[in-house]
Amino acid sequence: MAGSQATAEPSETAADSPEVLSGATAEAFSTPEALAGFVRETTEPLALGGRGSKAGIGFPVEGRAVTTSGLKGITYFEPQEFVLGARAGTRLSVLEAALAEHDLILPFSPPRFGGDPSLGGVIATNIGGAERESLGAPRDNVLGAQYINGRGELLKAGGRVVKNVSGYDLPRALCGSWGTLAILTEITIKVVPKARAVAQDAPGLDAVWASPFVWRVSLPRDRASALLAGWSSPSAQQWSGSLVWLGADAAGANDIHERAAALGGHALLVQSPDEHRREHGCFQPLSTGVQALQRQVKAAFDPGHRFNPGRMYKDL
Amino acid sequence: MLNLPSPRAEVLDRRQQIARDLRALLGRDDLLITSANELKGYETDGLACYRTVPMLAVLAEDTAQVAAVLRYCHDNEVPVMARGAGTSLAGGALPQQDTVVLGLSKMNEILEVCAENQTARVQAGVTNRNISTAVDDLGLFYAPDPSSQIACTIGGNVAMNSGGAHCLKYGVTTNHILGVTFVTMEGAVVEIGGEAFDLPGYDLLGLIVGAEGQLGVVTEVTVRLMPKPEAARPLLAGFDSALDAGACVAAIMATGRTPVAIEFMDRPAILACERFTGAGYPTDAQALLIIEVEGSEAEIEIELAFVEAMAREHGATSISVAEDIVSAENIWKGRKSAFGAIGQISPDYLCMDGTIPVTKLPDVLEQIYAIGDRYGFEIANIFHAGDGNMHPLIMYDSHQPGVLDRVEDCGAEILCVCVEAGGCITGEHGVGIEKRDHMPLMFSPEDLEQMKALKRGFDPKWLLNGGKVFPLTETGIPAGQIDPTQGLH
Repeated sequence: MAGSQATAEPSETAADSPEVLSGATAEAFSTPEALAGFVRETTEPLALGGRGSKAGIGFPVEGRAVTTSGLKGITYFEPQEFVLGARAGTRLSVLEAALAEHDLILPFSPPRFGGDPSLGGVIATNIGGAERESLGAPRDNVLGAQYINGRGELLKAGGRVVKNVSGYDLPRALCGSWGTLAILTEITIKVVPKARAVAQDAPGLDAVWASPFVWRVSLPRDRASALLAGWSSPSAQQWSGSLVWLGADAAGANDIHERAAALGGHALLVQSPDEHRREHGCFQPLSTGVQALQRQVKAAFDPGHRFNPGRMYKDL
Repeated sequence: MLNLPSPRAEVLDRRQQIARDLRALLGRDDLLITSANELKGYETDGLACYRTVPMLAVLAEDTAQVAAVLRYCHDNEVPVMARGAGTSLAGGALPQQDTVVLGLSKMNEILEVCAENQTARVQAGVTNRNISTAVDDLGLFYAPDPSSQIACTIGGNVAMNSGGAHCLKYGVTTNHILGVTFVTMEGAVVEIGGEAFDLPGYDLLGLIVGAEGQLGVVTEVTVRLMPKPEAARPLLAGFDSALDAGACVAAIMATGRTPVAIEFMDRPAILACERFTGAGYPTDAQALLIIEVEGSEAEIEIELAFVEAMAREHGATSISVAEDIVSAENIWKGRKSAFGAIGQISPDYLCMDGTIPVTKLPDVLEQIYAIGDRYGFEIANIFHAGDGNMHPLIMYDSHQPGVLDRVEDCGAEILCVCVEAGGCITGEHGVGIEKRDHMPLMFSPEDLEQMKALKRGFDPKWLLNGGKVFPLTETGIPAGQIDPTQGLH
């Protein structure tokens, strides 16, 4: 990453400024080095986020609020290679404007969650959109990452080419870790020609999002009908039925994790009242074997348990 | 020559006891291999210039046996290494003298196919090709297609995150694995992922796929299947220069109309393959592209016309299209037996695997030929050009004293060129032992230490497939040639 220059980004208006986790003022940094230095020089737990569009998912984190939204700009863009690198806090709208000039798009059509999410937030949560079947999830399109581990070291993994098995695939392992393993500071991704976009409507999705509880359920596609049997609240489907969105009015939908697991799938509660998620969390419960492996991974990246402690699971 | 770790004398001393213990815990005699003659069958893999006869080998028949062997090795501090078909080109399946080889080739059953969900559950020892064969009549196939697919196993593919010619369109192994049964070094059996897309919690699949069998042993795999295209047809385009062919690849890719495969061969490779398989390659060409398009007949016609126009624009001297399935199969047979064909014209060869940005192809090719000339080695280039994954084959005769050192130096220089061009040291073969000492070209000591911290978490005693992926010694690259902290991120 040394030597790469971030391009200037239009100045943000007040309305653009990141929502901040738990109401506190989050500290922002304009360079990965400064953020790494901050991690080294501090000792308390850190509540890490990007632009806050998914701040309502997971257990609330007790810690000093830090945002990556100050790490901005496209650092590498080779339209003819279909490869783009950007600092983690770069807004999707900025990326999409740059891509559109070359008739390119992001391959994972990330949902906006009512805001203008950062690239880092999309990768850290691995929540992609309609085109999962043809173009993959965010994790399928990550080529390389620069990141800060729990010891405050600024590290890199992966690279800038689409085929690369040089060492463990750490960029992919960081996808979907919700800032609990490392702080992503820069990400290199594949991009695709606009012509490969396959427009997919998800009828009913607006009604789902109008509900106080929203579940996102991934499951084998032949089991969507079993999940929806007797479900009278709003629902919507994507990915040929292998992604089901459920909207619910009350905590009556508390057993969705169990039902998803029984059907061979898994569920994430992506919208819920604060008091509910504070008590129940949002992430799919896991087997004891998987929990043990996750603790090993956490210990390898963040031995001091300082990054978003407890956001996904209490022991991580 | 690469340094290999010294065997632990204290383990070798316990060989007879370990054999007795393993026989007891397997409850059978026929699953344990102890004779020196039979153990020779496990001494090497596709990187045949390195050979080490292992201490013992176990041929596991089920997950419980794998767990029992791993638990025993963990408790008794015995090095152990899983092995599929032993086709690794990077020494990924090379044992050490004190290693128990855990062979998985007997676990070769396809357990379940679900056409509706387009998934299959298979044991780790099933060959890559047999998955596609088993689901062919459902109109489905398993997409990643390493050239060794007739022999290589899905377990090995998972370990190395294997690629193949058609990964240009479909992606590599990690994009097609939905779940695994994973056995830890302590012998715990953990189901990770399942049949659904993505997985809850950390992306343990992303971590395990491509970890070269160093974190645990995978015994069953749920793969994603893809609908077979209506039809596919390859086109052969011959060129007067390798640089023209490279420029043609870059130009096609830049349009975004990605063919399903673009394979490149230079003159030495064309001649060797044609002699070996009679695939109908143009023997007067300096370089050849195999470009495959797929879809309906109408789509194929349109895309073939586009590819042909691009090829002609870049100076193609001959163009021919496969007329029927037999000629299409012959064209691919020629390509997929390329390494065997080179073996017919050269006593030995070392296959490199660097990936570069496609736009740098002409420039990097020129540099590779110059490096070969300087060392006095003929280099044949056969590779997946569409995604920039190069396979320069350095031809040599191992009977010449000291030649392997020079071959490896030559290869190291080629990898330097790949990294300097913005690429990486291995695109699909893995690090193994072969590129172990070149990892500092791409990663700082701290970057590597983070990977090692994961390895220690899963295997604290460093017993599982050790001596690979991470450098044992300083890199052999001349100091100052490249700064390992620069380049990729």
